[in-house]
Amino acid sequence: MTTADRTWRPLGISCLALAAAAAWIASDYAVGTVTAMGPGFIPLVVAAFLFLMGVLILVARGNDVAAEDADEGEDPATEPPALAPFGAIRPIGAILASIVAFGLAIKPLGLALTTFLVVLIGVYANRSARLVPALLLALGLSAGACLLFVTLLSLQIGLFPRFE
Amino acid sequence: MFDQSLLAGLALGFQVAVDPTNILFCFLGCLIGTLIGVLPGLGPTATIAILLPMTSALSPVAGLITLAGIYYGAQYGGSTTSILLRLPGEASSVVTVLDGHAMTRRGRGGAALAIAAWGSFFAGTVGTLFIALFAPLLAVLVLKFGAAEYFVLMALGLVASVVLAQGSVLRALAMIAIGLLFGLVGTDANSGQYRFTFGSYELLNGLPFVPLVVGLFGIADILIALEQARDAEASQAGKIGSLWPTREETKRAAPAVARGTLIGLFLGLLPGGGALMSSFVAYSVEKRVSDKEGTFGKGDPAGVAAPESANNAGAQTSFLPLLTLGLPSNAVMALMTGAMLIHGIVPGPRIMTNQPNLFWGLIASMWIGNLMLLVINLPLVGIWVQMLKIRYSVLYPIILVVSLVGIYSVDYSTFDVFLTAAFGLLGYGMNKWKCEPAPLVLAFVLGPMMEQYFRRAMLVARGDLAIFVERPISLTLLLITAALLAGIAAPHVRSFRRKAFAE
Repeated sequence: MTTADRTWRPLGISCLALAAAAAWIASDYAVGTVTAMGPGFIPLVVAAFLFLMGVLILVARGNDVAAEDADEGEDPATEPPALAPFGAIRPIGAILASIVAFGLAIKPLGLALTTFLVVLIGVYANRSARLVPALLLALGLSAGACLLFVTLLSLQIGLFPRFE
Repeated sequence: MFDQSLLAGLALGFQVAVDPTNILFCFLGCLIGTLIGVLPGLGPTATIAILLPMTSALSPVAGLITLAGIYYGAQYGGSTTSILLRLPGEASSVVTVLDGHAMTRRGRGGAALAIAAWGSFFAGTVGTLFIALFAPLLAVLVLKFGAAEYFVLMALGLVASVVLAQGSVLRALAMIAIGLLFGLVGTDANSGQYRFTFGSYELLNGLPFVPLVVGLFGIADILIALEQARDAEASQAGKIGSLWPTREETKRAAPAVARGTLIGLFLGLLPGGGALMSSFVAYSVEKRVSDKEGTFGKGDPAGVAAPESANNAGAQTSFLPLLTLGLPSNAVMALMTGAMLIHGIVPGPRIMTNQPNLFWGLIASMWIGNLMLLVINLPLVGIWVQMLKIRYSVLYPIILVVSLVGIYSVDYSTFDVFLTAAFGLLGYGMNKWKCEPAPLVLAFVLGPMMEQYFRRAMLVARGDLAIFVERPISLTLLLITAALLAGIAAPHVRSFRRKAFAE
């Protein structure tokens, strides 16, 4: 059996870490008895279950996935590396930045400017983005969003910056 | 007497469903569903997640009608691109490519589209009747359920969705554990203790549902698509030809439609089933039953009719466990549960008695929706093919803006927006580590209910776990759960999973 899958190690360790953290936090809550359970009872059970799964994933060493892949006749050689560090940074960075920008800007700047900013940042997640089409798209979507959400659906969102 | 209540129910349903507002939203849902069905890379799960907040402004009936329309509408749209472009718009239309596109190459694309549409319509009609017939029966049975039965039923739902879904069982179980953990965040209903809130005021009511699903499905999808630099090339559509199947084609397709519908009806009911598995199983069964002369894969109308009828029937009947048991059987149904909870409706057997408008209205709207889809799809097929020219580089900023405004509009909370970014990142990581988001969302929805039922059952039984085996219904459900778990290791289940998802 091939072990083309290399994600089992970080996944299993993450499960263990998350389970341990959850159990540690939950240890502050009253456990109670089985008849009258306290708020800490179920969290400990769930954490133990997650811990067990983490152990099993580490024990299986990726064979749980490799077996499925082999069944489906996938060529293990075409398996992409577990984490392609550089191909992904740009989209992740730009998309997450645009979401955070939305959160920061929507209250002070209003929908029109915020949408413009979000689209402008978001477009650069794409490797082949160019400035002029990006500006046009941002402008168009900004106008579209204001029309759709505020005029048609009448959401309670301010359109323009508030100067107070 | 039973028949009368059924007729009265359906009459009430149609009365609700033909209300101009509801008709409009049913139409909108079907339209959006067809659109995303046509567009590859944008599936019903992500779309329903993104549009979920928008529907909270509507009445519960209109909101659910819209979301349901998106789900079954996507099954129609997905077949169009499969047949004409050899490009399955939806996972559930993957097998339709084989014979559908072969028919297009022979100049019978129009006939294939018509067979798919009429087959889906037939399946949708039967599915609607099936729900109307069996939902009242099931709901009566469920009223006998106590806390123990509910707990075991939900555990069964979770386990079954793992066994029957795609991918590694271990990882799906781990995702269930994480989903349950997420479900625990917030104030404990019994003691008032804050759990896993990290001193945050916003988390006292628990993790919000909409940022979770939009992050895991919508944002994560965008990240993955951009990393792979996926940009659907404008492909050349095959000639559509006459929309009327010949007599031989009809004769070949009709029994396949009936068999596909039957398979879809039952597979749709299973947790983890629904449209996707129905179409795969229906194709392989049809191939075994009617591929006498080796015509499958070369443009056999039966190879189009069976999976397309099955995926539509499956899409319909997967609503049955939700409406009667309150048990979401797949990710889309988990989203529907979320939509109901946003409106303050608890899914389950009491919907039918407490909210007959909602229950029967939704069922009747499904039949009307299927009728609309026939109109939307066949004459307008040319327009849908044009939609494929939209490039992903334009599409994803639109998705991004709609998602963000939608999340923000639920509570006007920027905290929800930041959470979405975090869950988007989590969804991306899960994809890299080959973990499916659906079990996590299912567990997140069911977890808090399961905890309540479990604690109540223990209270009633004075901490004696034997309550779960002493009550007959609970014991039966427990045995089914155990059998499913045991089946994971058994070779024939493995091969069934393999066959169902082989492509």
